[in-house]
Amino acid sequence: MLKKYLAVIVFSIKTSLAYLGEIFYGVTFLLVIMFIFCSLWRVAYAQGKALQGMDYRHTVWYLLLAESIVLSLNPVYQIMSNEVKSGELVYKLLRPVDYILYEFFWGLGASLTRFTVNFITGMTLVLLLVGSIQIAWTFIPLCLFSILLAFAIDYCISVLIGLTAFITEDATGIAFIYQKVVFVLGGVLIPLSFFPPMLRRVAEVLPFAAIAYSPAHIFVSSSSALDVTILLTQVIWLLLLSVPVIVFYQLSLHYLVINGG
Amino acid sequence: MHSLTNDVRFLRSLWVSNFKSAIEYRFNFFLQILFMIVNNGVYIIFWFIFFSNFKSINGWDMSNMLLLFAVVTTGYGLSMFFFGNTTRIAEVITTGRLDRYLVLPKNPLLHVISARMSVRAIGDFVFGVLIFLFSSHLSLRTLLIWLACSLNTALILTCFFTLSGLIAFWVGRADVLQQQAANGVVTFGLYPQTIYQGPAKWILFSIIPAGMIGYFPVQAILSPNWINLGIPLAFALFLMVVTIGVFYCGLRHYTSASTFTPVD
Repeated sequence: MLKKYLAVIVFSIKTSLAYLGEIFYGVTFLLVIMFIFCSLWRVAYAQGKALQGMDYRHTVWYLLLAESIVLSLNPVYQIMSNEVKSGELVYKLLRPVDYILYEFFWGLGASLTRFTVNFITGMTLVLLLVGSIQIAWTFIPLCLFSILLAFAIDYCISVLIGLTAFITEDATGIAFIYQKVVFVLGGVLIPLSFFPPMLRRVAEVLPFAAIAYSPAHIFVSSSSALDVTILLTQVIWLLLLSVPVIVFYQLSLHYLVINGG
Repeated sequence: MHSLTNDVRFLRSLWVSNFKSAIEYRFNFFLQILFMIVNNGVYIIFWFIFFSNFKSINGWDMSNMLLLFAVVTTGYGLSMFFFGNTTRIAEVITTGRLDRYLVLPKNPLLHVISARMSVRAIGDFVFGVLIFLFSSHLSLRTLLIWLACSLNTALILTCFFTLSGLIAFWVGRADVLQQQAANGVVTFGLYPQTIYQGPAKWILFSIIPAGMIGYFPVQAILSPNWINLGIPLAFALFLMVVTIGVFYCGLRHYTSASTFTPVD
């Protein structure tokens, strides 16, 4: 059974690579924002050495990974919303694959391709402007695992948002708010280390931090001891979010209206 | 004079028509405005957190950032409200839909850039107004300067978006390039321009006029003088002349797609 879903990932990656030009156009925004961050944090850190346990280089590399992940996320809510509105959903429901798993593996393929392009391009700019940081190579597999968990957690939340389209036919409003919450509470614009202590404690346990903050924190902390609770938090959130996804998907199918023709 | 009066009357009719169309779905209308206020509010939260850790950035503090947002979001809101089709000009040209505007007895450039109104832009405008009203620089003098600077920013953004789309007369896939240019100027414009050095600084005060829409207006509000007010105004007028010139120059290269159906 896993074999057919792995085939979906491979096919998704091949499709993404066929339109590599489109991905590179999207990279332009990443380069702009990373150039701004490099300039902003250079001036900020000129006032002192390290703040909140992070220095200039680590902050920029953190932001690179966080931005690369967020700009690679798959807008499943939009896909589901469009499929409900157009009726294309019925063709996917008829296939001999689970709809939710199919969309997950398809989206994962696209996200991994976009992330790879985003990160390599952004890394080139950051190396030129900022330089490198020390990375413990043993942490790389853990970081990659954390990124996969991040994509999976985002997928679960996106599916829950997208399932509202089965009833309302349009989920863009809720999705918009979700994106903004991830920007702030996910540590995309500024590492959670800089948050006021109380807000930081709350943000670290929410699922939004598991999407961007967790993998980025592991990546830049790889020269010191690994904080296992970060990975554990991601796994717990994935398990917790999987339950409502399964339950609400089954319930939503009852509400689904398919007009023939 | 007669032509100018006609253009103004035409624009007014177009704007009223666009607004009536936008407000047809009331709930969605107010929801779009709310979303933009939330969107911009996220960045204010970021700056509050940032400046709680760093007192100032090359002389810029939180009050400067509030003024920056007050000018840029208000200017952007005005530009996209009245001339919401500027960001689609490249697409209009490459798909041959410019024909629809050329065959009508109205100023084609004004018509094509005013053909659409962005509802979300109202959210940007409202946000900018609220931020300015709650800033620590509210007075009659600063209010008038802020209004003038916002109008100037709107003019610069309108011309810049239009100009970046007009390259479609000569370059393929210009719609993507236009989108990148538009995103770039607004993104750079919402960060303090004092963080840049060398060539980047020059570029951000000329080719990508982020400094013209952000830095100078803030300086004009804080210390009004002829330089802080005059330079962005002169730049806006220069950009307007260039935009009009490039449009009519580009029309000579334009190939009709024989698309004469009613405008969007």
